[in-house]
Amino acid sequence: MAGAPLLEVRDLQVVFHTYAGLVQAVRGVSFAIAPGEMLAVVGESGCGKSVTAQTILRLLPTPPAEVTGGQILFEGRDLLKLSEREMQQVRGEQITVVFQDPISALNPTATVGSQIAEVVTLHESVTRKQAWQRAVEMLQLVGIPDAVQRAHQYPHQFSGGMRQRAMIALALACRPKLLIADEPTTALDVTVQAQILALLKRLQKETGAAVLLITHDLGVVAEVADRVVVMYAGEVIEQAPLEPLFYAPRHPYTWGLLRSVPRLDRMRQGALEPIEGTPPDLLDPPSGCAFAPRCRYALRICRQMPPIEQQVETEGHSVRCWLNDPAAPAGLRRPWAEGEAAVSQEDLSLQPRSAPPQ
Amino acid sequence: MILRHDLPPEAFEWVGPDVAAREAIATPPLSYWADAWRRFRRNRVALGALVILALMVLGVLFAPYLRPFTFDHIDLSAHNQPPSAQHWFGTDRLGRDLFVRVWVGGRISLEIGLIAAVLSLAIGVIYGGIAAFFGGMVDNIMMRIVEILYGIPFMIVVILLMLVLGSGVMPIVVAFALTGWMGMARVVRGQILQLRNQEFVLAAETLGASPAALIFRHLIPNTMSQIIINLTLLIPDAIFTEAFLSFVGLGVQPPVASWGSLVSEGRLQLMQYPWQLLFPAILISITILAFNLLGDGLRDALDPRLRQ
Amino acid sequence: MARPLLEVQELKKTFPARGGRQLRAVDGVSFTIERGETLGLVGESGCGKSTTGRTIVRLYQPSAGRVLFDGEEVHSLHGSALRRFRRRVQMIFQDPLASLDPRMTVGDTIAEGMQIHHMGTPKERQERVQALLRAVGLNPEHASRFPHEFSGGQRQRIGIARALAVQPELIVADEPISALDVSIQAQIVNLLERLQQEMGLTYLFIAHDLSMVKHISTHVGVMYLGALVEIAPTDQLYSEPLHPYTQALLSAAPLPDPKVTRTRPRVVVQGEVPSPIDLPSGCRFRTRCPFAMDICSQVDPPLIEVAPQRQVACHLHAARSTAA
Repeated sequence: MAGAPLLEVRDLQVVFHTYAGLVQAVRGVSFAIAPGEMLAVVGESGCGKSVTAQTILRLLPTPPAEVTGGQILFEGRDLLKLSEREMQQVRGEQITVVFQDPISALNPTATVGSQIAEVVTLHESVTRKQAWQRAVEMLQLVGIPDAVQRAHQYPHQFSGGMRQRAMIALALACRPKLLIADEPTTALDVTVQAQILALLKRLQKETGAAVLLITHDLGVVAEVADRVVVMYAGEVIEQAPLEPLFYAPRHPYTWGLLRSVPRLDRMRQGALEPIEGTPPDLLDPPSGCAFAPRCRYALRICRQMPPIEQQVETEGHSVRCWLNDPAAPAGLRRPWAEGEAAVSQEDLSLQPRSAPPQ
Repeated sequence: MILRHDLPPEAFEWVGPDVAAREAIATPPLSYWADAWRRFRRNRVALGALVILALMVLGVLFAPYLRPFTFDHIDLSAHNQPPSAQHWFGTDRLGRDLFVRVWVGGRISLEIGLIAAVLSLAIGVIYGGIAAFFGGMVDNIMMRIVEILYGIPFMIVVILLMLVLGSGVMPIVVAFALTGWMGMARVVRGQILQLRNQEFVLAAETLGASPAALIFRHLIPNTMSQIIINLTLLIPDAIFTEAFLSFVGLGVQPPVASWGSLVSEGRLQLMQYPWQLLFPAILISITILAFNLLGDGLRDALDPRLRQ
Repeated sequence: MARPLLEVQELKKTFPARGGRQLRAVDGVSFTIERGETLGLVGESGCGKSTTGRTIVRLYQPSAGRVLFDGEEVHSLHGSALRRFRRRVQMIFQDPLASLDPRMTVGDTIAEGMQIHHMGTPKERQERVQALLRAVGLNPEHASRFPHEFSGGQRQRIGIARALAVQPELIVADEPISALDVSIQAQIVNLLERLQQEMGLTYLFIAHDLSMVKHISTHVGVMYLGALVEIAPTDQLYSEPLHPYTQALLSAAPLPDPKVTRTRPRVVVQGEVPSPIDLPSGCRFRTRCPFAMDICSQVDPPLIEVAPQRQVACHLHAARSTAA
């Protein structure tokens, strides 16, 4: 990555205090976003991706949550050290957010236009008329038809997709440097999801804002992201630029994610290959690799020692998995044909060198 | 700390997934009620309220036997005495021991509170349950009736009932039960209406569960927490109503005492002997406060929406 | 030919809406499912797919039309025939937490159906609960735990075990995987497929996107605003989708393949689904259809057979009708 990152998360650790003990929701997460880049953080529920996003925005309720370590550097400033006042400034102007559920994020008693205009007047010295004008422009920008009239309507008069567009307009109104989109399309229908994704991509290019996209869907990632961070059980297990992640992934969990989705564009495909089992309870994470209990390729060491982050040949591609260690059995190391997208059944069928222990 | 190059080659042997561990649940088992008790225990105020109420119950059961007097023992030679070693709370104008009377009176007050609350609970649960389960027209008519009843001032109804039924413990209970159930009916109806379309109730229906099974296996148990919370708030209401009625002379008749009637008697000599009013008044206040705090604590502990 | 296990004929279901108007949730849907087959029913929110499912299992009374299960009309059953139907047809729900009673242990939940239908002694039921838990990949010791202690995928497997307990023949699965994580979705689909082979089950599998349906279904029906717009054998529907809405759904589904994503052709539809209270005149999809013609606003296209087993409701394909 050239130049200084816009946002850098370093070794972030977040715990939740519960009756049963400490839940280690985020366990040493590090990644960086360059200015203007769209970084997707992908993982399943409970993997810590949303907690990470909320920690960046400092929106987590503390208690029960507690940040026990790490730094969040935004343009060199540690957000974790800012006062609540300073943080509010950052949140409104520099970093904004789009949530999964726009209806709870919009004020039901104010018109959509006035909500956007309010944001504009808060952060810029403009007249009320200019602010309203900007609000209408923003609504036009996000593709709301009849924006002039629509600006006078209330959120409940908007459909789901329109609300999410309005939410995006609101988030971009004060020209932030970073937009955090937390599952922005999960609540929407597929055809509307496609519209919103196209909109996000277009706006990222037009406004130059960096986007941190939190999602559980690799399909969404393939559509819009520049770089990808894969999280599992509170850790980053693999990160890479878009194509290497899809065509030369290194972590069995990433393989599993890719293999468990049926391909609509392929005629025949063998049985789906799910990842058996359930993610670990972070109250008591496994001592070795957190994925080892569910991993078909697990080595003895995987159960004993957490893997170290390793760089892969491709620039910016790193992985945490013992299979990438030079000592790992070669047959297990590269079950993936380079450059091939959908992994075929044969690629992954493996002949273990030694029988698994009883 | 083991270093990477210290590892023996065997460490890199394939072992495959850990089938036993991958479905493991680390959290200790916890039933709903155990979980609720855990959360309730953490709430110091509510726990304190529970302890105070327990002490109060013990008090009305056993405290009168600590003194050698009965509640209706008249000793005119010792009337209107201040608190002393002989009479801990003093005596009233007929020389009756106030300590004994306050605790015996508490018995009546708590009894009335409990019975009246349970009665109105029963009416409310059945009424609300029927309205919600059958829905439609039945629900419409039944709830309109409740709304009409709500519009009639509560105290007027009670006083009219008391005039018809005469005064005493039973009439108070009946009067309260007849007026206190409407809130409960609304709560139960709301809850059951909400549960009726929950997927677990639909699942039981597709399994062929009868209406009775749906109500008693699924709907009522899931309404229980709401019912309990409401009950703890109904009891102080009933105690307060009894106190008020006794205070205006419609309640229990002498020589029987309740907190309300004791306050009423004490009021007559408030200027000269303030403790005659003070002791029963303090006990009423503490009890009602404790019930309200307990209700709040239970709401926090039982409401699944606050679950974390 | 033997009669189909499930036959839905011109099914309609309306709900009263504000101002005395009607919400036409299901508006004349017909299809059949043969024994051992799986029909995938796909559509976006508000298309009536769940209402169809719930009407079939008799959670709703239809406003018009009939549902025949094994030749018997479902909504006129009563007494012991109804009890038998309640055992033979089961449902799996979308929300794996809401579909389990929070106050009942998992064991009691799974045993409930056997108890209702007086199947076995309490001891036999208990043994069967253990066997069912093992069959869906859970630890039998988990029987004494409560639903909230499980993960989403585990809860859904409990829901499946509950449905299987009464040895049903037809299972209506109402978006059973929509609320689950991707890797878990595949687990559930594989589990359902395995159980289908082992127990000869028939499925009506309801979903809001086309991806998992492709894998599990033998036939797929696509619904839009209460009507079936296309129904076909799975392979044909995916290789040659006929209705513009099916094409749009297919091309809107995100693919985990960046290169393909960049180059694949797209049928883009504008806007969102109109309200089922105010249906558009003529074809219900015309307001969003990129190929809409004059006739589309005037005549509602009927579902016609354009090839064996292939039916589509679209004026673009009217000329292909095999009946004409």
